[in-house]
Amino acid sequence: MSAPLNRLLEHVLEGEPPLGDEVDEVFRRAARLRRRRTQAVLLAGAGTAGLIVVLGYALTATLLSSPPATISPGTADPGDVVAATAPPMPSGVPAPAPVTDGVRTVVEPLLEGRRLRIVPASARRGDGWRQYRIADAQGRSRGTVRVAVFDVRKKWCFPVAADPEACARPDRTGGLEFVRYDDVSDPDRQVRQTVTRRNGEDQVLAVLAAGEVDAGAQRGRPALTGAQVEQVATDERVLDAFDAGEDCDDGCPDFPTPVD
Amino acid sequence: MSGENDTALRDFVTSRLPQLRRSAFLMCGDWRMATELTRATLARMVTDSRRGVVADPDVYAYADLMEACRRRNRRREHVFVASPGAAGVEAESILLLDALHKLTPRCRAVLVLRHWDGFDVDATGAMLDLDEEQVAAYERAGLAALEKMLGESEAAMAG
Repeated sequence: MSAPLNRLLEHVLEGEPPLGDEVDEVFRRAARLRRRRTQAVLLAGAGTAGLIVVLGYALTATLLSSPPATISPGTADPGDVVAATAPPMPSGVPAPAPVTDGVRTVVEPLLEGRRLRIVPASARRGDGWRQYRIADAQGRSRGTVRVAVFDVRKKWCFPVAADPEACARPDRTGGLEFVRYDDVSDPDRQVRQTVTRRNGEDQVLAVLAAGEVDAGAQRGRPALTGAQVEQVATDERVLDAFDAGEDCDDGCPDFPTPVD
Repeated sequence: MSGENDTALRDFVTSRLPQLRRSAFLMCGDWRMATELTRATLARMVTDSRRGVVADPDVYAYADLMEACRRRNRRREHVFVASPGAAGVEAESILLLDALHKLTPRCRAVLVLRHWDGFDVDATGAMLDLDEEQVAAYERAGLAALEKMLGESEAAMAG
């Protein structure tokens, strides 16, 4: 049937319309097709690049919003400090609520009453300690306020600055016992320090207000009075501001009267 | 065809376009659609030839055209559409087209490629992605069905 079918089909094709400029139209269409394919490739590339940017942004935002690293006990040295202020957050990412600094909450009102303030961004903290630079209304430095907690042994007693073997007899208030160690005899190195211990507990708190060194008797005065240092040291909120596991051991800043 | 210049491509398009369009018409029964499908197939062939990815332009063009016709005309019901201004079409031609379009698209493609375009079994298999036995089977079945339908139609017209 091959030959007959071939001949039959020829009759079917009678009435075929003329070709016209079909060849040119084929090449015009090929040019359009090529442009569309090029655009598709470019769009796909742009889309891929955009996707990479979005994923990179999301990953970066996720990593930046992670909690800041903390100093593990026993690994910090005096140079290792962590800024107490929150790290900058990328826009569009909800910033976490600022961490409340319980020590600062107690200290700051006392400073304001004396027309002093904590120097912005000066707060430093480490395992078991907090420290703030203080300035007056004119921006002149007025020394530092330093607070620390220490884990002590059961047989620990309040130290005596002049005799390492002796024990001081503490005063008592509420469930706390404390000793003040103020020394303003040297106008260039004035310090006020109070050490507090909760009855029967192994955690001791030390609060120090140290005046600006070598600034003279007036400007070298500590930012807090002896009574205010005692007030801070016997405020339960200050002890509670530290985590149970915190201990100012290795890397602890100096205190004029050492606790351990 | 890869690497050849536009002149060679234009020569190929000029020489193959009429036959491709006729094959498309036998596949779809509509000259306007046949023209459109042929134009699209050759445009793809030209574009891909310039990219150097066309090994055999005839196989590429007929395979693409048959696939395009198959996608556009899956249903077996056929409506013959003559070209605008064409003279009257003979009844026998309409009956043949109608019988052709009652076959499956693949069976119809085998008959068109083998008996209209004159390709051998190997080339037809390459264009339709079939092996030799499948091409032969489609061809036998298509011719038998076509002969039967045409015989019935002639008997009906004679009666």
